[in-house]
Amino acid sequence: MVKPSRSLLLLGYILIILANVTFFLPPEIKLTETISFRSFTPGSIFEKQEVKYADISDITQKFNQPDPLELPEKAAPAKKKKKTKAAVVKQQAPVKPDTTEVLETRYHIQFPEKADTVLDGFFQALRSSLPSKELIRVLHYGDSQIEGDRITSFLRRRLQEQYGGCGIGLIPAVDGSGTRLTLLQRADRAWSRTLAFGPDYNKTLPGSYGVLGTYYTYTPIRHLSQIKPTSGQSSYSREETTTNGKFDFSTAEPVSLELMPSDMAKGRSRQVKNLKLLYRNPGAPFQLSVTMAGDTVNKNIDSSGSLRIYKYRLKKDFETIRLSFKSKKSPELYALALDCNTGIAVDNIPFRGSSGTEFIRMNKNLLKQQLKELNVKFIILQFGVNIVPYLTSNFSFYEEQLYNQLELLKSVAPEVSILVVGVSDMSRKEGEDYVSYPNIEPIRDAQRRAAFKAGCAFWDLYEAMGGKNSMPSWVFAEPPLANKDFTHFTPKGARLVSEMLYKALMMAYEEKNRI
Amino acid sequence: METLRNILSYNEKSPLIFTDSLFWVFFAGVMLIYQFLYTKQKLRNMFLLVFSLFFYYKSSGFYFVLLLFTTVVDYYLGWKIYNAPEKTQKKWYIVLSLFINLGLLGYFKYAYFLADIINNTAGTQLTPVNYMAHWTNVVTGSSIDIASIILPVGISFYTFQSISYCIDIYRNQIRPVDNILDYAFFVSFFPQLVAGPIVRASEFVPQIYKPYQLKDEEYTHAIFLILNGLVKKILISDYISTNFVDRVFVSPTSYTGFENLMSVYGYAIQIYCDFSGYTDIAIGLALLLGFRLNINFNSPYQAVNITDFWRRWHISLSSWLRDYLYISLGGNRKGKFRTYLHLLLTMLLGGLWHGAHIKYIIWGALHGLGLAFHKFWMEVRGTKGQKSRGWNKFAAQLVTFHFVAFCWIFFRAENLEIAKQVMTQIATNFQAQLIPQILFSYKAVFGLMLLGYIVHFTPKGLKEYLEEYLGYAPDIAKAFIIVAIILCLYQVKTSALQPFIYFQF
Repeated sequence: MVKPSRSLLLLGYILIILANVTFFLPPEIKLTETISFRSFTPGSIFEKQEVKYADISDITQKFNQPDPLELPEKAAPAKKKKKTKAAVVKQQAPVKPDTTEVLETRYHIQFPEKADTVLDGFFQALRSSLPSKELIRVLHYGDSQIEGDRITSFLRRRLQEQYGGCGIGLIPAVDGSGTRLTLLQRADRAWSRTLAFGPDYNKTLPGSYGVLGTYYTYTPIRHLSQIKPTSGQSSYSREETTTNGKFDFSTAEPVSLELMPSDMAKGRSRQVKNLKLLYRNPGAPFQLSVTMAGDTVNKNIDSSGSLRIYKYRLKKDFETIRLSFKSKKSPELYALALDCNTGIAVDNIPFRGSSGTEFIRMNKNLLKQQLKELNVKFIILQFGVNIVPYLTSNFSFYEEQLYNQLELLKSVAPEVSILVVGVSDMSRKEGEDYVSYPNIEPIRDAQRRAAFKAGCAFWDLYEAMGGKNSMPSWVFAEPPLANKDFTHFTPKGARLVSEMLYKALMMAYEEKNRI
Repeated sequence: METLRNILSYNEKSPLIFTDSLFWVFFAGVMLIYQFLYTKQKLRNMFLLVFSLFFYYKSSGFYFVLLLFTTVVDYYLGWKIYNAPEKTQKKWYIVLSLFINLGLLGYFKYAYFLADIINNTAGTQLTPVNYMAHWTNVVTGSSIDIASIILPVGISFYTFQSISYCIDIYRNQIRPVDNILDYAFFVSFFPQLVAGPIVRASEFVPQIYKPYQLKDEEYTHAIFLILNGLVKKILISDYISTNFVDRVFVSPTSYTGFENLMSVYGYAIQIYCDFSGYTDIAIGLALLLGFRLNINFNSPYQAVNITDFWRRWHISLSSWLRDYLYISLGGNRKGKFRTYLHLLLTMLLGGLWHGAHIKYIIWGALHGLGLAFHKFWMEVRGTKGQKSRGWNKFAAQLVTFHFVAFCWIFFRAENLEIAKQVMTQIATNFQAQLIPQILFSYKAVFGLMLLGYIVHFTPKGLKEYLEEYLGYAPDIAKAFIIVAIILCLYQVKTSALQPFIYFQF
């Protein structure tokens, strides 16, 4: 029979061996460059946390916002048939921001020295143009951190509630990832997209990227009955060219796109007044038909090398819209937009895997035209997490690259205000603890220097999150504010970030108003 | 001094769990005292009871009063049921016992859920109040938050144990325990207190009165089980959840359909390793103290049909549900239709037992439908009792596993929207062309998942052979092996995070 003393003795042996291991083995033995063998430290045995994570309780208290999907959203007021005089006067008065809250310095928008006017263009537009006169746009570029309309959607909601507007802004013609929750998109297989970033980077066709860093084309389809049937094929065949001369629209097969609001689209994100189509068709004329609620509009569009915007006004509430194209050669589609006629539009433009250095690949002229036609007043650039894993001490190369992008944007649209949002905190593991990458602060500094040099404002997201080692606090918060990759925000965390950004912007605006 | 007080007092953020080194320090302390007491039955039981109560206090603070309350009530009612001269009186007492036990469980576990449902349907504004905290504040002058009801650790397990005790007495299957301390010991025995297995009085109570006994091979088996549990929990479950599964389930649409599918497979092995690993350790610990708890998991994914799965998965719960819920409802004695209905109801409630959320009800309902369908299928084909072999068996395992894994989506997803996203991604955004790239990028995660499944499908004989081999080693060699394993686990615990990769699609 085994007596309990034997178990005790075994535990004793284990303890003695462990003590020896802890004492004699160094905490870390490098086996290769990346792999190392770790031994215990006295602290690790008792799970003593060596690193102190940032305290974020004031952040969660100050910026906590309920889930907009769970709350009924204030819908944009229905268009009044007859405006009273008072209402007209009221609408023309400058709109006041809804916050007079004074935030601590670490949340502030930062301006280059002696140039705290760099956002004035945008503030001026807020003051004079809104809510009734025209539609102004904010482009929110970013990496996977903003994918799926994260951060942007809540910012849009806040700005639209304050300054009017509806819709969800610019959207890709073909949705690559299906990450947007409020819109469902479907596209025929004939569509393809080419990206200025990611694996398409080396594909050559510079100059054609649209405002979304993408262009969309399709391969025209002809019905198989018109050409010789080949065995073993499906009923359609993709052909680049058509035989014998003139293109026959009547026999061509349409290639289509579909947009529909999802069940989760509520309030302003479901309200759409017009659908826009940004395109160029230098190759061939095309026939476009737009169908919604049984109503179809057909339009023949001549070929042209310059940028054009087709606008379809919605006569009813937004429901499934079908866009069909027929042509011998595909036009280049740059973006679609679901907008209001007036107010503010905020566009979510994620470049997955990018560090925000692809803008110089775009055609300057085309970009200039697009920004002008779209009446863009404000651009937010939010990149950085994708270069964090590259360990180097000097990020002047990134500063240079980012500066070049900002310079390009400034040169094509000098009147547009630009805000650079700095890199967010990101952790790696040291022992059992999660610590900030040592790169974060150098990258943030490089971003700020680039922004200031190019005459742009800067917002320090890393400091706003709580600074060093704040990411673990976001991950371990209840409910979690960031994902277990210790990089990306959860929807709730993203909401918190946009609330911080919104309040910082409004505070800067308020200060301008006071002077 | 301050540290000592911290170690001995309740800390909400660090409950005492088997994978913490602090627990093992306590356990060594228990063994130190135990070696002087183990031959003296009464003292031994007393000592284990006191430590168990301390252990519970460490995990859940003042809620241990609740454990004591349940214990006293059920001990008292057990005798009342036993001594009642008439069946109707017995019935009254058992109803009272059920009312109290289920009432407590319901209050702590389902108050918000029920208030939500009532508020939504009736438009009322009910907000549950934590009376337990309220009374504690009144009595002790403390200021515990009364606005939130926190689920006391292990309440789902010990209420079920108490219920089974009373029902067994009611059914004349056991005699009540003579001494309330013995009963308290049965309810609160620390290895199974927090996360099962759910122990039956009929199996455990007789052991309370038997002298300590532990055979050589049982000793080895206990060590083997504990190591097995630690490896399952830390090497497989913890690693793949942090580095892959949790991430995908937070944001399914950021990942391809293939990654979503892999995260479902990952979760299937993760939850198995997590849960069975913990109960393995519990069984091993109890055995070292001389108490035998029944096996709780038996390679469940080797099941050839869903009925078989539930004979292998969380056996102590499934048999509890069978004996006390399914049979109480009428089992298969009330005709075919009722049998199907009983199966469905049992699993529905079994689902709800796992947590107060519609997703658990759906999970339970799916399993209930699966069980009913399987019963129907066997009757239609007349294949009851036949065993499948070879390819047929493999196909049956594959189908069963996929059904179970599908149900896990609901179990794991934060809410139904996430579950829908996972399924939509798998169905419409699979991105097969990226598979080689994804496999390569997540090689550590997928490697461990594969290892988990390989071990899971390893024949029993091989594992027993390994265990026997461990038995031959002298204890000092065992200690070296154990330290080596701990060092390996430490590598996993301190390993670098799997970097995030979003594939372009």
